[in-house]
Amino acid sequence: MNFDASAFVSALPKLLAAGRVSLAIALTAMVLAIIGGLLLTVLRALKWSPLSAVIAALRSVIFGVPLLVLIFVAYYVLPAVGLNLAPEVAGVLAIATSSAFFVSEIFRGGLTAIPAGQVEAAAALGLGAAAIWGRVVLPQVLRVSVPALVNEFTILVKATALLSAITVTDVMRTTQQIYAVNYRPFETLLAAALLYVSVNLLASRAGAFVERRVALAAR
Amino acid sequence: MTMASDVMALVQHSDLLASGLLVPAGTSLLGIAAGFLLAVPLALMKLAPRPLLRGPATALVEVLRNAPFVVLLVLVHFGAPRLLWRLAPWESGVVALGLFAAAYFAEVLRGAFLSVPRGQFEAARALGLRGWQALVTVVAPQMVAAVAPPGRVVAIMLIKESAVLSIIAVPELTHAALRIQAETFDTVGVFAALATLYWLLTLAVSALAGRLEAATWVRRRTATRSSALAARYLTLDWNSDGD
Repeated sequence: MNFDASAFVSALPKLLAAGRVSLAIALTAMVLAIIGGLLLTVLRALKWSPLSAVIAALRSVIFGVPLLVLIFVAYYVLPAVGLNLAPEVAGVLAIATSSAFFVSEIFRGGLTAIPAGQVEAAAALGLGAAAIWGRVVLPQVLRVSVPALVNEFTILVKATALLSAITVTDVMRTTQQIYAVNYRPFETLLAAALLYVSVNLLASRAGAFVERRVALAAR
Repeated sequence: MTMASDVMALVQHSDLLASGLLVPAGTSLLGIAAGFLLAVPLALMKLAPRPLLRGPATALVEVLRNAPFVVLLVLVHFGAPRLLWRLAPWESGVVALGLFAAAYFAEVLRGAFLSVPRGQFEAARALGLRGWQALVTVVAPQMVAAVAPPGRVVAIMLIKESAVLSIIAVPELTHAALRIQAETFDTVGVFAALATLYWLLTLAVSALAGRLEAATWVRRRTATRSSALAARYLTLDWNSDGD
């Protein structure tokens, strides 16, 4: 087996440039997923049966259908019902929607870390529902959820590679474009894999740092 | 585009979808089996005290878990002829799914091993069992309960990842759907059917795995919150105890 190191090295600059696209998509999707996840969590906490039933049904479908299929739905089905989106927008929408449900599950776990007494104390001090959510519960839920959210982010970074299937020029599609020309798929894909793994390991390290900074005081 | 034509188009191509449905089921099954077998030595290496054994296993697991599956898949597909021999697309799919699964199963197995108290292994050794005997007859049976729940999650994940095999033209469900869509232009119907089929497949597998799990797993009920006021904020949906 001959390994063409020059093909590997020469692919890196182009891949790094495309990496900015992938990273921007992952970050946008993450921010939207956290907002969506917070919203879903508060809506689920209302315990209004019809709403909970709708959310549970959506969650079941989202957890049961491959992300690639959800991406195809956003890209091919939405235009058929009159909503034309750029591939990047459709992709971010699909990834963020799916991730919001996973993030809501993360927050559900985070809620169990909050002592009941805090909510009672907040209510006793006269705080309304909005203040209890916004000032007592959610900030702490976000803090205890950092490790799981970092893990979710690495999942999103990997998910961006699927957008190559709907013509988004991310790292994966750029990789395919490079090896279509240099006929060195193995070396080029290895460079791409290296890039994804580095970004995710870096994110995990950064996450561990943030986790230490924002950890709730040990009780 | 009427509802009736949608249904007709799907009925006409139901054979394609049905045979497509077998591929994610089949490749995932093979991938899960291969991955589980490969995960055993990987997990043992990761647990080994010697860095010479632990290092390569850890590196392999980290790479497999942090690279997108589609990259691994295409890498296997193009790399196999260079390393070994040319693979058919579905063979590449099984190998890539197996490697991917192995990394996740290795972590599951490692966690399950660590959940068994160390004294169990030491007591078995003290009673005269050899290392591997203690592992197989004493530790492994106790690991089953800890392996089942995350194992189910990994299995569902693999079925969903198998949709990615369509990218290297494995004739599986997503690939069949894309072909039907290109032929009939019935976008809404085809993708609705596709999503429904995957949904039903994962629900079925999840239910099946859930029954296996129930046989091994004693559900630990979380303490019900004593405060109704706190429960208004700290629990979700209509049931106050989570799922």
